[in-house]
Amino acid sequence: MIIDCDANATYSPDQRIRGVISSYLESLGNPSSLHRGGQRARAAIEEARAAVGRLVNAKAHDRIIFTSGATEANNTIIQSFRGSRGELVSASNEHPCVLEPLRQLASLGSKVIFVDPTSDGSLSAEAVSKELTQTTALVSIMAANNEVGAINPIGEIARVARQRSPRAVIHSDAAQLLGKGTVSLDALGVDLLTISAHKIGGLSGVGAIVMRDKIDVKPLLIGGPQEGKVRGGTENVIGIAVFGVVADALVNELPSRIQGMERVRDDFERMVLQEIPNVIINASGVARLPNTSSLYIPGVRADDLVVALDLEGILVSSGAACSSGKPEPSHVLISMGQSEERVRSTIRVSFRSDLSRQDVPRVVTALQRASERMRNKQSGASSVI
Amino acid sequence: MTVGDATVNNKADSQRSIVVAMSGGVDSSVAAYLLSKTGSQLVGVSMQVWDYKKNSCDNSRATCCSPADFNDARRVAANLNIPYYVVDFEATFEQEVINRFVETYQLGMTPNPCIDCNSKVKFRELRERALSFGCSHVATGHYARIRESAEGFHLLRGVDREKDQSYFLYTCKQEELGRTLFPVGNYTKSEIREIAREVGLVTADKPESQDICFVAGSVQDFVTKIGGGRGKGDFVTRDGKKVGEHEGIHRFTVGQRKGLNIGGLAEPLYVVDLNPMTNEVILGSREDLKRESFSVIDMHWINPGLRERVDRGEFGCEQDVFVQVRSRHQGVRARMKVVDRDTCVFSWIDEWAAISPGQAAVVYDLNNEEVLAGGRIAKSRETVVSKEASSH
Repeated sequence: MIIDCDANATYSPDQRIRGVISSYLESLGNPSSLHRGGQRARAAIEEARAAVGRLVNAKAHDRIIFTSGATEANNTIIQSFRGSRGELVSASNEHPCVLEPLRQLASLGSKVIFVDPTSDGSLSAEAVSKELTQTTALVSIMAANNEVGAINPIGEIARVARQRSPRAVIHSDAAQLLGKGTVSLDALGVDLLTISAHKIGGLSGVGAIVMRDKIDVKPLLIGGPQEGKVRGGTENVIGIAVFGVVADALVNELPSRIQGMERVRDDFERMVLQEIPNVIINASGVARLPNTSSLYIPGVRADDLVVALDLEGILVSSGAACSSGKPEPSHVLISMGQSEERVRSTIRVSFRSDLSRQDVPRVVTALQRASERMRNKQSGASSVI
Repeated sequence: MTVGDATVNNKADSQRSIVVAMSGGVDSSVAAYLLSKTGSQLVGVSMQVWDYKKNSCDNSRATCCSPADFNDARRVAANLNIPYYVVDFEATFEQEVINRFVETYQLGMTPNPCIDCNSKVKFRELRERALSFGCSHVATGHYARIRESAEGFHLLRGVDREKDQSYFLYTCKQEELGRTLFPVGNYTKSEIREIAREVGLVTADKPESQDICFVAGSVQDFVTKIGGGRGKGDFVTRDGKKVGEHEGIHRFTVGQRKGLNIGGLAEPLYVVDLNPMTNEVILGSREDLKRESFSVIDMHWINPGLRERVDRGEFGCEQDVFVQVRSRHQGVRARMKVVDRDTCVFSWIDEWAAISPGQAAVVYDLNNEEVLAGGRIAKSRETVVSKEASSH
């Protein structure tokens, strides 16, 4: 049996979405078509938009633009600032889909500032504030970090930014906070949010920009009037419909989901600290996502630990999910000023809310055995199972 | 043909957990297949050793271990229903294989990176990583065999003499041989392809990987790019007469005849020596390549009996053996004198072969079948030194 402890990579869909998918497989039209097949598809999208709107507590004039995921949403937002004269302020521990577009704009002449997080992985409003000026055009700070789980004080950062940089647009990539905390434009005090379906049990390939009506975002993909002319291309109808269904369920389930995650995470961390010597929990000094444990286990090689646990049916990761198979050292941990050795020896365990508490000891035992094996090997002894 | 009888020992196969190194080629694919029939627990691993995109000299594809090859390995593993991982070995590979490869050429010697890769990467770091995964054994697609006797483990040539790769494995230690499997060593290449086709492995008809896996274009351009060129120098004859200019000594190997671009001389010219101090390539006749004897250093003793004698300090004794002095050489008879734990001197018995300093000399028994030992061929100056040392 597989124990999925990599929910921050993808929160794998539950069975409820099967029915949704199969119901749309029949007579699914192009949502831009006038006929009934098209109307049905269009209705599915609008239904989903309303449900996602409820989840993020959107107001009547707020807009929700569906995209192919958080990467596209972040790219769309950041590329809208191409040629902007004002400074673009972000943080060095952002997701690469924020960092890379900003670096590209920097190479084209924009002034881009990346603020470093504290050694606990969160950003202080003071540190951001120091970089803000009257001419700052964009402040883009993630709501919660995907690797270590640190939650940023976005509300406070936004308040400071409104005072010091009245012209700035304020954006937060909330892909990782959605489903694990309260996400809304009002609660976070921002103008733009990025969210993603597969982090809350939807399908990968769908995300959204949540934005205030007054904000002007330029389309990244042109060639169609879809999504209020902000995102050309026929919509991913089934993916969007599923997003709507899981968002709708989450409106009511969020408090219990958070509680379930916290319970599992706390059990896990308590046992890990008891069973495995010298483990350090990253970001433990700041507000954290309820489901994320970033563990520094001295003397182990994190990518080997991921393989060893996978062979026992336990899914974890050694940082963010990577597509190449070749893990790069985590820029998040590096930005927190951690040593090379610590970066190499840190794994991320991120829980689902429905993980059985009985599974937690199994995860800890496997982690303990594999860590011990690797630590013994390093000290010259050999142990083979 | 019976498929699946290839493993070296069958005791408690189902208890054994094995990391299979899968390059995405047909040999390691079939190795994984053969082991999957034994009931052992398998873990497929592709070794990420080199960033081809970053380091390639041109746009041509590397010969193996590229991302496309890993996708083939992944498909084979999925087909065999075994877990599969790409594991990062870049740091070790760069340090132990690439740097040494470049340095050896720049010192006017000829490296053999496959041997360094086997000893430092496949049979050292991969084994360590396998232990981390909880696996006791490592298997590869090498054409070689391991036989266990009361004395210990013996490394033998593969059944297919054309494909035999035992030459590249002489650095294997006894304890490593005991935890290593070469499932394809009992088969010929054509049998391996036949098995791959029979069971429908996607790699069945992939072309052979050639030469050096991490070099996509010319070796010499690679050395220049990674290590910087040695600069132009002179071609000189053995008596010091300049006969032309060359583009750097790293572009030449002792024994080389082609690519010298020097005409108008009566007899064919060979590279007979390389001088890194003067940056000279010394040319001569084939006869000038002839050495009565040559020294081999950094000896590894692999045959258990021979290793025991060396451990006891029995030096000075002589033994007739076969010695193979480069990868595509059949091996010829020679007399081996064990000077000390690290050094041997070989003298030819009936025929001689051109030797290139830096290359491996691998010692086989008189059946030319079992690997007894091996080492690196010393530069002629080192030969002189060790001869003097032994005569004093």
